[in-house]
Amino acid sequence: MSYLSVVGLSKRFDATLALNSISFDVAEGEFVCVLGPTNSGKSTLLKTIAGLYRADSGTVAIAAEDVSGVDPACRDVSLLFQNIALFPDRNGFENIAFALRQVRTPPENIRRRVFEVAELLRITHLLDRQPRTYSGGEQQRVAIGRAIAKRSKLLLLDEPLSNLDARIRLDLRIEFRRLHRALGQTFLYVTHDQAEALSLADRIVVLNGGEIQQIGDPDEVYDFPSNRFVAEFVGAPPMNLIPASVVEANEEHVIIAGPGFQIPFPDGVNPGQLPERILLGVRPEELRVAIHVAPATPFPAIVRWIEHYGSRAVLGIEFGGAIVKALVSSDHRALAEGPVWLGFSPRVEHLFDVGRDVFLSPNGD
Amino acid sequence: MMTKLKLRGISKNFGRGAVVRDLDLDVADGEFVALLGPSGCGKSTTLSIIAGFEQPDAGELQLDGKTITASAPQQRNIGLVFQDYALFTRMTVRENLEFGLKVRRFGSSERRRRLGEFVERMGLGDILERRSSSLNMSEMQKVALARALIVGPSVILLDEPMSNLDSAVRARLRSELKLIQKEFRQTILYVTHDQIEAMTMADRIAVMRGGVIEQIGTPREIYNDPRNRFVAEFIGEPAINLINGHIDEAGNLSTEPHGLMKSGQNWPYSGDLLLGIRPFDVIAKQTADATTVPATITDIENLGAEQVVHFAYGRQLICAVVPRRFSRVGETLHVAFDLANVHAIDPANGRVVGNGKEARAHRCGFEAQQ
Repeated sequence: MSYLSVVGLSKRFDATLALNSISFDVAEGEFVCVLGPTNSGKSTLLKTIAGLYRADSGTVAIAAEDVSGVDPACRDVSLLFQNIALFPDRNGFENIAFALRQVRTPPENIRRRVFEVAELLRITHLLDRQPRTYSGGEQQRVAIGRAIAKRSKLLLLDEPLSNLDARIRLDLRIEFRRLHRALGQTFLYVTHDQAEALSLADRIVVLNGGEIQQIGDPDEVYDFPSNRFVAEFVGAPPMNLIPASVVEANEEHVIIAGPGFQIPFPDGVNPGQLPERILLGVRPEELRVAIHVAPATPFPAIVRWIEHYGSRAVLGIEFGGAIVKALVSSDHRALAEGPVWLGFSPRVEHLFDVGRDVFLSPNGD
Repeated sequence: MMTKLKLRGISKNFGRGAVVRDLDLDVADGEFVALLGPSGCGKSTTLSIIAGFEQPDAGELQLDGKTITASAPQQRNIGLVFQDYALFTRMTVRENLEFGLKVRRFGSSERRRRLGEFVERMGLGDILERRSSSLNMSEMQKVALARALIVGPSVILLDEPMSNLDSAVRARLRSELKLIQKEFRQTILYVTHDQIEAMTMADRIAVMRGGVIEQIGTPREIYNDPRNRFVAEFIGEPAINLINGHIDEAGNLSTEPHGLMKSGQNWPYSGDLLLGIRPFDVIAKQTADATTVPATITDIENLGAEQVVHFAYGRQLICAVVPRRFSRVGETLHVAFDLANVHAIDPANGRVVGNGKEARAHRCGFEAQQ
């Protein structure tokens, strides 16, 4: 059953339409990430759901109750922001207890709940200390504690890892998954980082220019991007889009070619719907790279640079006058600048019809 | 290769204790060196000392073979790029680029020549006449870099220049910055807390903690042969697994639920230790064999191209990177380790005492002697 229901939400700031008729549902206990670049409207969406902004049109329902006109404090939601705002003059205990005191919780219950939360987050040693003595990661843990202490059914998180050191970000990312499972709360988590969204979410809402681009689980969004924006925004390095066109089409086969290559058209598409100009979507890990020519790697190319990631490396490869990227193991034999051979066999769903501005679908519909 | 920048015995105290301690560092001409470490490790202070904003309490600083320890910042031929770029927002991109040239009293024909060259090579033509306040973050970054490059400094210092950017933009800028640096053969010292930035751009990485350099080397050296536990844990994503293990008198390696992993390895060390194993070197199989231990998956993280599976190994939690759609939560996998890539760490002092490759080499040498 859907716990949070957003219907036709729009919000304008002067000339900018920040949210354009946004609709989606979040089930009870689900972890949903809203993913988008800077200025995509994702924070505005979160703040509108929290009640900090009033929508121009549309409704927000929590637990089947329309809360569009309800004061933020009266919505059963907790908020966690990117900028950690702990009370500097209160210790960890009082920071976590804050929301509980606001709703007049009996003192013994406050104490029990604060320790419960602190144990869950492994921060009992911080309860007596003042925030200025905390490291960045410790501050954010206490802030998380404050947000979850109230046991709101819905937790809204706005880029909670963005201002932290890379290593702490990674540690806390795993923590959020554990926390979500332990709490059973519904999480709506806003991020610009596709790795966070892929690794955390049950489902991802991809947002750009105030509009929803796609809703799906991480595998769907990664495997079947609904448009070019999603294809290039999800995945690191992004999907290669190699220009090509149909050069031969008869009863038996269809051949497509681009600068430096020629391949058969993937099976499973309606030949009556052949696009004129195509982009072949090839994920960096799907690009075959070899130091020798072979049937699987027939096209010559040149490795121009190498980015080391430790056990993996990304090759920047000049191919047909453009750069394509390949993700390979760091013991790959082609790990040197110079000539290599490439091969790729894109699936139908990764063929982008430039004229119609859509990815093809297997049955040509 | 010629040494461009040389630090010898640099120390700095701020009241409460040493921030930088007896630091030595050489940066070669045209080299890209990253100072990598967590908040408070002393990396930004080191950069400020090189720039001349801070005076060291002890030590010597040389640039192009000349001692500059006491020189004023503007007398050092050093370019700077900071997190907030500090562009002149009321000026156009062209005016920003010309500013440094004018301050340094380049003649007008030389100014024109340099401007033309940099605009062309860095692809700034489209934004040249725009006010810098109208630029997006990645354009600002490029202009800030061009402004530093154009005056031909001996070294450019960059302090966390990508911290405020979206991760997709960061990824794009990493490759651009590296290409520009290579093309101009510009000596760069780059401060960051992000090991991915250091790994992907630097020729060498200096890993800092508590005011000292824990290890310096190429990205591959630092990743494949960390000298201690701190470096092993700080480099690599997902983080390295640390498993309790034991090496007996005969040099055989064992772990708690696994038992004997392999006999006759002949490690040059015995006793209890921590085994550092990268998630990429954990071998997860669908079927059991003589080398594997069963492990039930407790969690899976989707990385896009691959997945990270988390599971209990004895009483410890470890993770492995496996192909996509390889497994599901609750499923049991059969786990072994790539012994060649195991790092043995002394739990008492955190030092790496050996790795699987050395153990094998040691054994071969031992057998050859007999």
